[in-house]
Amino acid sequence: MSFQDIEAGRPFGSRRGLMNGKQDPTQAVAAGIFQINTAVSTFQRLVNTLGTPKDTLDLREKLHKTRLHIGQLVKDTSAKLKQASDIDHHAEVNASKKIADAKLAKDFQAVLKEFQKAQRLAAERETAYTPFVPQAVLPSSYTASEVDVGSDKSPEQRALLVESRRQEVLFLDNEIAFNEAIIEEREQGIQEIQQQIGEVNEIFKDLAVLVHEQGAMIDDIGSNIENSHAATAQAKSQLSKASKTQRSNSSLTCLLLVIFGIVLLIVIIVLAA
Amino acid sequence: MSGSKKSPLKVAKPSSAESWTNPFDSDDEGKDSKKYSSSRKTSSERALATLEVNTNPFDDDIDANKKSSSTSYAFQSANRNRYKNDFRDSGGLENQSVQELESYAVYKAEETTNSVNNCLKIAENIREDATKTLVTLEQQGEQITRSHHVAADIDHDLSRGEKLLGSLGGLFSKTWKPKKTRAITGPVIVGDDPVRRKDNHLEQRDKLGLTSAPKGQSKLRTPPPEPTNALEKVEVEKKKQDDALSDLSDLLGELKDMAVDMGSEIERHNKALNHLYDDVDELNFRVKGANQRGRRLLGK
Repeated sequence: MSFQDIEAGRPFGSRRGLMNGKQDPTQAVAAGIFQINTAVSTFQRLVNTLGTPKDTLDLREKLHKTRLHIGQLVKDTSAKLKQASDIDHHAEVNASKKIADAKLAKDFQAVLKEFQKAQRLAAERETAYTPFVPQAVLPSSYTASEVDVGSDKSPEQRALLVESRRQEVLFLDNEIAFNEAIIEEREQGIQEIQQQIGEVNEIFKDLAVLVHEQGAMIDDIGSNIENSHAATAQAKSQLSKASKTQRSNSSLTCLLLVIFGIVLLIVIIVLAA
Repeated sequence: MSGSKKSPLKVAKPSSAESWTNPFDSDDEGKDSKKYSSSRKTSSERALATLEVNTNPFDDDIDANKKSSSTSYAFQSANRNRYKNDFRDSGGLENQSVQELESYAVYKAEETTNSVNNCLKIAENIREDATKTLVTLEQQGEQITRSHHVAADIDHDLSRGEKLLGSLGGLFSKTWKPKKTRAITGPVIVGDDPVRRKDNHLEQRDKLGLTSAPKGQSKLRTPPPEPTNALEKVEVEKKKQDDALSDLSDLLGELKDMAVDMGSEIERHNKALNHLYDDVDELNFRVKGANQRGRRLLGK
């Protein structure tokens, strides 16, 4: 429908373009303003479908093309308006024509304001809603079924169907947003777990280093005690030798004393006799 | 039926596309002929043209799907790069389509799974380090016990030496007796048996730990993931995450047990070292006394 309207608009404009060579710029400006009006109304109708089940990537592309088309029309009409203004300024034309040109300028400004308003609304809705992606259905059959549904049902039923489809799309969007929120929360939790496990890893490594150092100290203690043990054993053997030596010396002294006693006894017996 | 229906549509599309593109290339004469011929046939051709305009991106999607079936790995890597780049360039999640959001969700889920797997690897490394630390602690405990036994032997030799020093000396020398502050007791024998029992227990735990890890890995590998929908992919990733998290929980439980054992082992080491310190202090005192006695005997 909208595309047919655009196609219907173009040949009409081009026809006037052909006639434009013969006519004056005032009528050219009027024709341009009329085209802009038609294009802006088409643009507004496309903007109204944003956020509905009909909101697809194709619709977004149509919006973009229509916006570019309106921009081109605005440029052309602005140029023609300047030509008309120059002609009015240089040549002495009657007052009624000047008044008509001024009125056309006001109409042009009004159309531009409407276009800016529609453009702002389109930008808001484009950011608010995401385009509806048809799921596993061929677009030709989808469009055909859409046309059939449009032709069969009454406008009220059609509105209800559009509303239910819009609610379905909103439900899907909410579900996906909910899933993404869950996944984000899950990821944050797992990132925290990863960080804590890194900390535990560092703690265990530090503990291993400390245990290794203490192991070196215990090795030193063991070697020192081994040395003490060897020294004590050697001391014991030395003391044993000293004890044996002292015992032999004491026995020799007793023997000498006994011999001296016997000699003394013999001397006494000889003197008495 | 559906195949037969689809094929004539595909055949009809390119011819109508050619007929549609030609008028754009032609000059004003073509446009004039278009304008004058305002019949229903031209309107039907325009409708077909609109259908073709609608079909073009979906054809691209179909081609993309075919490419993905041929080279899945390259497609996945390209997708990941697109997701990172697209979302940074676009500036937010709100500007994306539903399909891209679903793929982004799958990408995030896979990233989370990779994080969990990294946690598992780190936890396994921690367990290996903890096992080595426990073994080192056991060896140190045994060494402390052996050192204490050697100290007891030193006490035995020192006692005999002191007796010999007492018996030495001449007939007229003073008698000498060693001064003993406290009796030297060896290492506590009661503490050894639970240490040995726990050693066996720890060895069994290590064996069980070594055997349990490959079982977990095999469990993770056995269920093949079925890539059907984005949401089902996310569900599969969630199951992988849950399995990895449960394995991680088991590993952390083992680490807790190991840490508790380390604490008790170090506590026992502290007591044994204090006992060894007291004994060695006493031995030091007695050795000094014996040295003084020896010097006196040599001096006289």
